[in-house]
Formats: sequence, structure tokens, C-alpha cells
Amino acid sequence: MSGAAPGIVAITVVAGTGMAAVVATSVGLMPLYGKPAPSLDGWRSAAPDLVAGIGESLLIALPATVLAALVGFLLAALMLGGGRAASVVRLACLAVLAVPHLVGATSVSLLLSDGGVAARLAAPAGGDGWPALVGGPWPVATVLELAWKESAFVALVVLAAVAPGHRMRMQVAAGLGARPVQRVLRVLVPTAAPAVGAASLVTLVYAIGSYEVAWLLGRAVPEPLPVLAFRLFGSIELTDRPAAAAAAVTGSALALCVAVPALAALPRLRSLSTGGAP
Amino acid sequence: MSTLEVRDVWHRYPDADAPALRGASVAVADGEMVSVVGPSGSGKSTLLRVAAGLLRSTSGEVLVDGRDVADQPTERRDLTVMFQHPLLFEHLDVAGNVAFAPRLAGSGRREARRCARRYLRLVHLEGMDSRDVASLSGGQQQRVALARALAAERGALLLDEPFSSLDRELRASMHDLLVEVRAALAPTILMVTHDLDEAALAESSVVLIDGRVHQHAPMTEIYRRPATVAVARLLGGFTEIAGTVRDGVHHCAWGRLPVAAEGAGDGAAVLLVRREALRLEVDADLGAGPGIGARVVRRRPIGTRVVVSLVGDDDSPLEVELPVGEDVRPGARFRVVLSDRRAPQWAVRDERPGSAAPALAGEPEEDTRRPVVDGGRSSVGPA
Repeated sequence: MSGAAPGIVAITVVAGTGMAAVVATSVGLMPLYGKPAPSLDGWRSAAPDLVAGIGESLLIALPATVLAALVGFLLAALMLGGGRAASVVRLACLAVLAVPHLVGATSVSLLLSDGGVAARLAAPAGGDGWPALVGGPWPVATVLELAWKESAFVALVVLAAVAPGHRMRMQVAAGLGARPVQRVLRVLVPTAAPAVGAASLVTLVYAIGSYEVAWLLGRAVPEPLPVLAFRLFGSIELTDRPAAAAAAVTGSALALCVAVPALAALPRLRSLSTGGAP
Repeated sequence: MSTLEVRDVWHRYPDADAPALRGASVAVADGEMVSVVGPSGSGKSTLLRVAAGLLRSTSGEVLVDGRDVADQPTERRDLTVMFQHPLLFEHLDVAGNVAFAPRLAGSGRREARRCARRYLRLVHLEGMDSRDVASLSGGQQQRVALARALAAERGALLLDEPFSSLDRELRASMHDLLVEVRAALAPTILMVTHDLDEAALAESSVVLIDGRVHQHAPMTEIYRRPATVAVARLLGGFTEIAGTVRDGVHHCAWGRLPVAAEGAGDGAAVLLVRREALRLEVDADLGAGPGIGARVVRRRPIGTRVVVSLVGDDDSPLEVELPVGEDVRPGARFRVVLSDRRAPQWAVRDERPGSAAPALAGEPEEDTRRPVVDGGRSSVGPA
């Protein structure tokens, strides 16, 4: 613990100072001009957008996380299986991780938008036209992009956590009579559960706080919290700054509300997955 | 319980220069325990992994209760494996680990845990059902692993150096436990070990060297009459005296020594004499009867005895075991003689490099059948 102290101090100072400044801005204590005066005007003016933003943020983050966890676990299982397929999947995951979200979002837009590659390929089949996956009523493209990128992250985290001893665990289970499906369900899944949970939590918090993918692929209204905060911070109306700060504080609070209980539950995830007996 | 037989098994690891197993055969009767001993890299673990189905042999048969299971995956072979490390499932508590196999077999949770408690009592871990396995000592973890393997109630139990990661005291207690378990359940056991004392727990032992079975006999018999020079070297404590057997007499630099009738016939042969069966006579040059002059090279204490290494006048290395306190210093000359000159000695055919070693049977073609468990990686492992 003492070895980690410098890192913890640096993180606390940077994050703490930033959060304090944003909170102070949101309640009028750090105005861009004029004297500081406590005020909830920023919160009041942004309240409807904040409520809608929470919903939109969760609408994006939750399915993206669930999808990333499922796909990531499957990819990790493939890699644990060994052979040439494992090498290909591992390389693919590393390549996906190296792609910035902004580039990924642009690619997904070119692939899934109305005039994108997929729409053009599907056109000869006819039908009612290409669904509005980009900028439509449901944040499909945003969710897919986040899930695509984060599944690679989840897969590599799970692989790192489970790979040591995996082959021997499977051999022991086989020696005890476990068939392949039983080995996956009764050994691999519970062994990987804590890593999947931890990686999913990181993914969820990232998806709640990420703005660029939703900004490029999402609909204009309602905006998820980070997009709202980004737009208001860039507004030519300087009085929007407290509202932007309020959106940022709400996004952070939302992430904390999800992360704190999840962090508390993670250590118990292992026993919860089996109840102590197979 | 079941019988287990591994018959004429060959195995070659990819890119290996030589086969890890060369026609090895081992049979374990119902309720019997057989140990497999050999030096590192002799193919012991490979043999066990082939028997378990964790490794696909190049050729040969694996029979459980007379049924060839060579094509069956591990889980269908009616046997279970216990490894050197306990490899307990950390997501399960102690009873959960032991109940693993009963649950797989369809028992309900409560019934499986009741069964687990029975086996935990057998390994003296009663009352520890709900303990986190990570909180157990190494010895306790190995007891849980043994209980888990027994609770699987499969035909045969394969033990791969099961106690070698434990310290001497714990290993001794596990040996006692194994004796208790055998008395209670009479499981069919094939155990791989490099510990000769541990091997002696079994009714009989198989000595595997360079992938070949050199001897299969009770350990006391192996100690008394090693089948080959390689077996004698594995056991240690033998002095090798090269020569030729003619008409029941070994002719060598020591003179003429009578040999046991069951040993090597006429031809080049090596006498294997235990170092405690030799003694030193003070005058190196004037001794009577069979013996050889030798110079002391070094002395090494082993408890209350001392092992004296000498070089004979024919440049052969010799070892003599004496009580501590004998005045034997490096450089001194002695005559090495047999304590009992008239007793027949044990001679084996001389297969050492340079002598006419028996030809090996031809190695079969590589078997390209699919691996049994866990993809192709399982076919690569330690010998």
C-alpha cells in the first residue's frame, strides 16, 4: 500500500482539484467573470436536460457494457482455448484496443449510417430502407461502437486474470468427470467472473463519461451528460458555464453511484456466482 | 474400483529428438497401488498423462476394466487425477471443492456436501467445510485435493507426484493418510513419484528410465536385485564391478566372485554390490581373496554413517559405507573387499555405453488422431 501512495496522492490531487473546481463553478463560486456568489441557477437552467441526459447516458452505457462483457468473455474463452484461432483473436483484440474511439466512431458511421457501406450493400435486397442506426431514436451505433472497442479490453483483462493455471484447472475438472460444457460453466465462468465484473465496471464508467462516440453517432436530443457538458462548455454564452459544470458533476455522480456499490460487490462476486458449492 | 492397464505405449513430443515413452506397459489390479519411479525426464508424468487422457500417445492401449479407452476423453475414462499442486477451485469453499464431482454426477447441493463431509472426515478435515481454500495450509490443501479426488468415486486414481511440494514432515503425514485411505477404500492407484520411500508405499513399483520400463517389482525386491545398471544408479548406493560371467562365476579385476543364479547368464555382466556390503582392509597390496586396491578420494557423512568414495586400481569408482569415526582420509590406500566373500552376488547384463545394449523395438508411426482434452496444447508438457 505504501508503494502505491505517490500514485494515490497524484490521482487524488488532480481528480480532487478538478472535481472541486467543477462543483464550485456549478454553484457560482468560480464565475468566469464577476464576483463569486453562491447560486443554483446553473443547476436550475440545466435541470430538464440533466434528467434526460441521465437517461440517455444509461441507455448507452448499460447495453454497451453488457454487450462488451458478453463478447469480451467469449473472446477470452476463445483465446484460452489455444491454437491458431487464439493467436488471431489476440492480435485482433490488440489492434482494436489501439484504435482511438474517435476513429472507431467515424468508421462505424461510415459503416452503419444511411449512406454507409452496410446500407449500400443491403440496398439491392430492397425492404423498407436502412434503419436509422446512426443519429436515430435508439443509440444503436453508439452502443455498438463502445461494445466493439470495450469487448477487446474486457477480453484481454479476463485473459490476463484467468490464463495462469487455466489449463491445469480444466484438466483437474476433466479428471473429476466434467464434460466440456460443465468445465466452462462450473470452472471457467466462476473463475473469470471477478475479472469480467471489474473490467465491466471500468467499461461502464468509461461509457458514462465518454462524449466523442455519442457526439458523433448519437441523436441531437436528448444529449447524454458528457455531450451536454461538452456543448455547454463550448457555448459562446459564458453564463452556460455553471450549467456545463452541473452536467459534468451529474455525470461524475452517476458514475460514482454505479461504481461504489459495484466495487463493494466485486469481492463477493466469486462466491455469489456459485454460492460456495458447485 | 477398476483395473487399469497401459499397454505398449509410445509417445513422442513434437520436435523432440527421442520418444518420451518407448513401449511402456504397466498393469494395476483392482484395489492395488502401483508406483512409477524414475529420474527426471524419464517419462513418468507422460505415462500418467497418457493414462489419464491428457495426452494422446503415438500408439498403445489404455485399458480401464479391460475396456480400451485410448480414444475416450479424460472425463469418460472412469479415472481421476491428482496433481503435484492441489489446484483447488478458488471460487468454491472446502466442501464445495470436494462436492464438485458428486454435483457433476447429479447429486443435489445438500447431498453432495454431505458426501463431501464424509470424505473430509476421512482426510481429517472435519469441520472445515466452509473454509476458504486460500486460507488452508499446503498440507491441508493437498488433503482437500485428495478428498476431492476420492469423492469422484471413479475407477482408478492417478497421482502425479502428489506430495512432492510438501515438506518432509507433511509428506510423512500424507503417506500415513494414504495408507489409511487405502485401508478404508482400497482404491486402484497409479502413482508417479521420484521419492523412493513414497514409491515403497505401493505393492509394486515400476522403474521407468528413458521411456522404458526397466523393472516392475516390489520396492524391496528392486532394492535387493535391481534389474539393470540404470535401475541401480537410480536407487544409488551400488558399486558396479564390470566383468564376465562364466558358469556362475563373475571374473573381474577383483578376482572370481560367485553370482546369484537368477541374475545375468554367461557373458558381459556387471556386479551390483551395495556399498554397505563392502569393507576396507588396511593393507592394499597384501590382501587375500577377491578384492581390489583403491585410493580414497573423499568422504561424505550421511547421518551416523560415512560414505567413502575411492578409485580402484583399475580406475573404477567405488563407494563404501562405514560407521562415522573410522579413520579414512583422502589419499589413503586400502583394499576393498566384500564383507561376505562367499555369498552369491547380484549380476546384471552389461548394458552400459560401449557394451552390447539390447536393441529397442522400432518406434511406431506418429498417430495423428485428435488430442483428448483441452485442444492441441495438452499434448505438450513435461516428461
